[in-house]
Amino acid sequence: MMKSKRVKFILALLLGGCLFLGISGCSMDISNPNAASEEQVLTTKEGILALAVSMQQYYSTTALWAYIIIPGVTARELAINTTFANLIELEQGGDFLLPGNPDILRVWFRSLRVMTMAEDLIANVPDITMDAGTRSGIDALARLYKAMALGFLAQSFEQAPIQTDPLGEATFHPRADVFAEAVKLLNEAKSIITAKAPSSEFTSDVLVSGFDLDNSIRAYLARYNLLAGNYQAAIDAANLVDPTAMSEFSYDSQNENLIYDAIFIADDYVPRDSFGIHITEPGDGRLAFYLAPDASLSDPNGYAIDSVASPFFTSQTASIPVYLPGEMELIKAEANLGLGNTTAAVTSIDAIRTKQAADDPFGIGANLPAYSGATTADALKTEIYSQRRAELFMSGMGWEDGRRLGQPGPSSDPYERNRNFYPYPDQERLNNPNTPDDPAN
Amino acid sequence: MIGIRSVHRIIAFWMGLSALAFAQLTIEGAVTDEHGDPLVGANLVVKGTPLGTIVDLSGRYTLLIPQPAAETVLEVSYIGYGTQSQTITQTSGIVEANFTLSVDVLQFDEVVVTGVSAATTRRQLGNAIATVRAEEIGASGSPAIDRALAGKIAGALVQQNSGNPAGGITIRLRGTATVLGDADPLYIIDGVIVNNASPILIRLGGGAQNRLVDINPADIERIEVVKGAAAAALYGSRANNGVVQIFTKRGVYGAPRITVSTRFISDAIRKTLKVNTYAYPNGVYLEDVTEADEEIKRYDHQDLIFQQAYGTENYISVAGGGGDTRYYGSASYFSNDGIVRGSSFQRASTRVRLDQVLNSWASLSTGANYTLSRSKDIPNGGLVGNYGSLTGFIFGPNTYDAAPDETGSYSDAGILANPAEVIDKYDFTQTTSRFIGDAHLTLTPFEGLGIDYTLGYDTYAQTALGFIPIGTSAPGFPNGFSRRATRDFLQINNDLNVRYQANLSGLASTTLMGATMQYERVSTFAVEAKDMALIVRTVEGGATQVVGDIRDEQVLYGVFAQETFGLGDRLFVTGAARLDASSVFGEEERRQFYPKASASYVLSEEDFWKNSALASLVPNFKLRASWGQSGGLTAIGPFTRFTNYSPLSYMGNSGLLPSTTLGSLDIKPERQTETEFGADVGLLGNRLGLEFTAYQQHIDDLLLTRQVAPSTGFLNKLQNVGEMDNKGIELLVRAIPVDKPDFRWLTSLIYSRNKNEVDGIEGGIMIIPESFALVAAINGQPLGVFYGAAYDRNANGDILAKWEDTDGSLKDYTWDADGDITSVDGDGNAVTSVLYTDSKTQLPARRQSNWPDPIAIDGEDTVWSAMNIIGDPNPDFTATWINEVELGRNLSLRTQIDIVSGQDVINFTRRLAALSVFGTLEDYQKELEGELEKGHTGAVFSTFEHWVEDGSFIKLREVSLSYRLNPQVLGLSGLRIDLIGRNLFSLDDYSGYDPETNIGGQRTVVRGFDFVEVPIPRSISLGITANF
Repeated sequence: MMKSKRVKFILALLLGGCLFLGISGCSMDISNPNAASEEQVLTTKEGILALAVSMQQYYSTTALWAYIIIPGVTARELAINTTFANLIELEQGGDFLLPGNPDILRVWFRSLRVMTMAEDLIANVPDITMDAGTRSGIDALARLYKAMALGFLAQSFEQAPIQTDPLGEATFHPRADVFAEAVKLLNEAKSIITAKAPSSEFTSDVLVSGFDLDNSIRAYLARYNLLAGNYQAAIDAANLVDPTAMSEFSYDSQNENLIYDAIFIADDYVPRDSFGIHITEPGDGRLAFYLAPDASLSDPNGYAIDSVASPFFTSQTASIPVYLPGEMELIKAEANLGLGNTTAAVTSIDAIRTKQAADDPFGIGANLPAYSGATTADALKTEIYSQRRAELFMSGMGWEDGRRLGQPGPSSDPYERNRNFYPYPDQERLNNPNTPDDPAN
Repeated sequence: MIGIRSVHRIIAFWMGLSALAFAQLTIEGAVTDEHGDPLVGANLVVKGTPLGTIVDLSGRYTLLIPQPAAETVLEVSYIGYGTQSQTITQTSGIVEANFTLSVDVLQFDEVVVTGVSAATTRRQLGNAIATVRAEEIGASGSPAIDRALAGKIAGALVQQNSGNPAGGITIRLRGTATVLGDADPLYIIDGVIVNNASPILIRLGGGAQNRLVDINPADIERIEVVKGAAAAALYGSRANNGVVQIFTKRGVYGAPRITVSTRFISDAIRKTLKVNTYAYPNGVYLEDVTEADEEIKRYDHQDLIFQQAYGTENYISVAGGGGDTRYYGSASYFSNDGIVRGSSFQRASTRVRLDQVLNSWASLSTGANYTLSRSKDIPNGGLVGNYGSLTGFIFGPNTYDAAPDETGSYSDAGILANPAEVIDKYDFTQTTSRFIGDAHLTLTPFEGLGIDYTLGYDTYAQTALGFIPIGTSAPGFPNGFSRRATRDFLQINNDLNVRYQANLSGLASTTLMGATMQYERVSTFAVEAKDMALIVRTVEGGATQVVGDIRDEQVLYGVFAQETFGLGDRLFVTGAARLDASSVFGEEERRQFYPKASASYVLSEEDFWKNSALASLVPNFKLRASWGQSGGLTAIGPFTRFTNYSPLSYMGNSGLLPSTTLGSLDIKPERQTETEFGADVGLLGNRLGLEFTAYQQHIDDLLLTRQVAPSTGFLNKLQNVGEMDNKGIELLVRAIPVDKPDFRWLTSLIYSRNKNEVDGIEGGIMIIPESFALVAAINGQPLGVFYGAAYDRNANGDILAKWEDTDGSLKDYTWDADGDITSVDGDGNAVTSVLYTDSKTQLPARRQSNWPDPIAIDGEDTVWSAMNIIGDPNPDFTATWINEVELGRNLSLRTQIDIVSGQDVINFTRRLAALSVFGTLEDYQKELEGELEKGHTGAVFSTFEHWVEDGSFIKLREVSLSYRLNPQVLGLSGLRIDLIGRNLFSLDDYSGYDPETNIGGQRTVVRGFDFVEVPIPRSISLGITANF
């Protein structure tokens, strides 16, 4: 009797214990209060909006730094002013620039990271319930950012993925195809916002103020059509860009303009005297716009350097243009030259040469006499190159321009690019079997 | 005495419990050794019940059994002696039962409980379990349990990382079993999983307290240590680093026993560094001194930093029991100043345990421990934060007076902070309020069946405050700094164990089944600000406020079963399995299975042994073998399996930015497989004992951060890709060379050797963050080797000063005044960058013109340094020699000598002080005096191999002299006076303060790193313990 009562009691206790362990126990699926998960971001409207904001933040504070600074050294727009081994390699270029160099990885990875975010937005935004105008805005914005990332990738590497792959087996495409993909994305972006104008929700909660989506899409369409060799399309797109519009990346104390930091605070990179080219004309108003003359030499390599006057880099909250209106005129000049319309090309060149600061929304004016040199294709290419280096100083285009406009190949001449393309980063080669051979130089 | 009795009654009444009035049996008697001397403190238990008592100072015991069974088996045990039992068949009245115990140095009959099916004697164990008893902890004079364990456990490396009064301790059981995780063992106190984190809530230079410091060692009764998977498999995913199970004191039946002790402590620095005393400033060499050079005064800033420190420790406990209730309660207060002026630690703690027999088959035990500890910290070192006091001293220069002038202001002439100003002006404190509680319900419903339910609860709030006022010399904080960080910790464990013991015709079977649920929640909240307003000390008073808020949670469930069969007293076989599930594992890997098997064979129980001559020579001989698996989850964060998106704010819009670390949806624990063999041998009437163990651990699925292709959009991912091995031996020899009535000498030698090797690291090498890039995990090498610029050597180990030309010939380097190479090879190319593969490590090493600097050795050869392995902080072996001598009945002396051999220490302290711009120590003085080549210290500055020293040492770790007396006054039943010395002397060739300390604190991989951490003091204490 006693014993059976005891057994009952214990059975009840055991059962109770099991229930206690089982029910009062906690779920195995604990959500993270510190950060959002991929699922939370990609399947909710709030998450998609927040990802679209962070894509812009990452691009403007981080990726853009790599696009302006790193190829800037290779193109000789900037000199290094420190003895870090990776920077010495970068300025030496040629065979000294090894695939393990972290700066190359910066250009590569930051582009691909922007692409992942843009791709996640493009893939998921159609399935999320939201205002159609918000959806169209995000969709177009993501396509524009992916196109910009692809463009800068193809300006630094001979081949590149046009789609990221979470499994680490992204396939590579020749740069012409990469530019073509950028053009395709921008055409899509253009038709998306034409079909449905972005909502005020998009403009206030997603799009960062100062950024002109419409004109930026057209301007980059012009740029990548030119780089892809679609001259007429480039001219058409450039003509659609409002010459008075200003589209800018904005910064605040939490999201600093780090190029200012690199040039002014750390002083690791400094602008070269005369934009780093031999062919600058005295009296060019853009010299004073971008540079503050300085007699000093860079350390360790002793190149003539100047201080920065460019209003885009003189404070930690200075805005950086998304594109410069002057680029559109120079795109037209080059595309017309490509189409054989020499006269039209010279007209566009003169428009830039004679532009007064007051006529440019950013205040860039060469204030030079009209072009009086030879009008052979080669001479005009050199002139366009010279104008681009001056007009578009430190916009990440110098390297691409020199290569495209017939400047001499890599050499140790500190006024010529030191490589044609970067080698593929070691980290990509070691982890992705599809990585192609490195370019010769 | 009456008062105390009343207290006792009140306690019993208050608990609403009183003795059941049934027929009762009283057993009493004496327990003595073979000489007839009483064995005071010997432990008596009634088998199968919670009843028990201990032998009092008169050598006798009395035990009241309220409801005696038909047979009462009384078992008596005492450290160093074999266990004995007597069966009493009387069920009422008074019985006299006397015991005479004989020596057994290896404690074959000692009962252990960790990782076994049921309380088991050592004789039956298939693996080595180390035990440490209260007296050994008490004799160590140590304020923390882990510190007291140094040297006492075979296979354990106990390192005191800092000489601060609450300085952190690291324990490695059989080497390290993880790279990214915490490698300290799992601590369990009275069934509660107790957190031993070392959070860095405020930057003190590198070190931190570990939270085991909250436990008062005086409350400890016994510690059991299992060291690897073979023994600890039952603890599943948390057992990879071994398990330390701690048992606190309990009440014993009888009148209240009151223990009062007080101790006075005096600490002093054992060795200071020799500072530069040269009377001319930097850059002036003996031969260059001209009359124009003014003599300067040099200072030893250590005089302003170190002090003779004092402390006290007071403790009172009451233990007793009557009827069905036993109780134990204690209160203590420990307070000790540090040898660095201004630093101190206080700990107040109380502990209560109540054991209540509910009825003949159920009992309940509850315990509660509250601790409030507070430290006043002085930052030192420079691994994290460079504003410390010793840091300011070592960066020098020592050409200014750091003491305040008559107006109370401090010189800012130093490179970093003024060391005296740091001490006088900074205010850094840490306060911890901690509660640990437990409840155990034990049921023995019928013969053979036992059910235990345990609820464990551990919670604390640790708050760190840091304040640097405006206008000090603190680098980076000229306008002040304030920080407040709080860590709230909560851990709950529920454990249910069911065991059944049966005798199946000569085959003893013990079955254990159990389940556990463990929940842990940690949140850290921190705010800090720079640029303070005047006077205000809170973060509110500062500009640029930064907030940090992190919350983590995790759950672990486990079930296990274990079966032990015993054949006679000679063959024991155990098989076990544990199944775990944790919220931190990936969903696909959520369930983890850990098997285990062990066997022991006591040959000396076989008839052929017993009947041979062997029996008298080798009365005990046991062989054991075990194999098991366990897991490690300390390297997995609660949310590492996700790709996490962090919040940001950009121009008024809120964003979520993906991490560059890809989530690891398939993450699983690190898995250790351990095989262990050993033998326990008792010789010469068990007066000489030998315990030998050899083990091999292999860790698979080691967690490492691996790079991924950047075209994934990510940079890295935590993956189970590495491997690690630990191989080693442990030897324990214990003997009683002399055992006379008035002179007993017990001597023990513990020797351990472990070899660690890590593998599977991508690219062969991983440089550890926050180690000045000098500590690495390298494939095929022990974890944490120093990796840095080394002398370039040939196959004979001679330092090379040449480079290999394209035709294979060796040529001298030539360089210009800037240190750039001007050598040209046979093809006419400049030798600027030489790539080669190091023959020793098979790692690519690289030399180029800008790094590192050329080095002049003795003015002759000039060499380049290349990256190589330059040292190993893991010791080759550790050994301990303990001697205990009892003289007469009142006096005893115990000494412990610890030997650590073959560990390297990187002396960053000396390296910095040698450079001319700092020039604080005698190395630079030697250069100034011309004893060293001019420019020598600068030339070797970047060759880190030059600064690696042998950190081997032999330390007189503990000396304790105890005198017991038995004054018949004031109701005293005993009085003991202890004089304890700790870390009195060290024999070593180390040039720095102390080869034991580590600025990496309790970090897993950064070991043996000397960068002005506070040295371990020489400590002497005098204590009096009175028993009433």
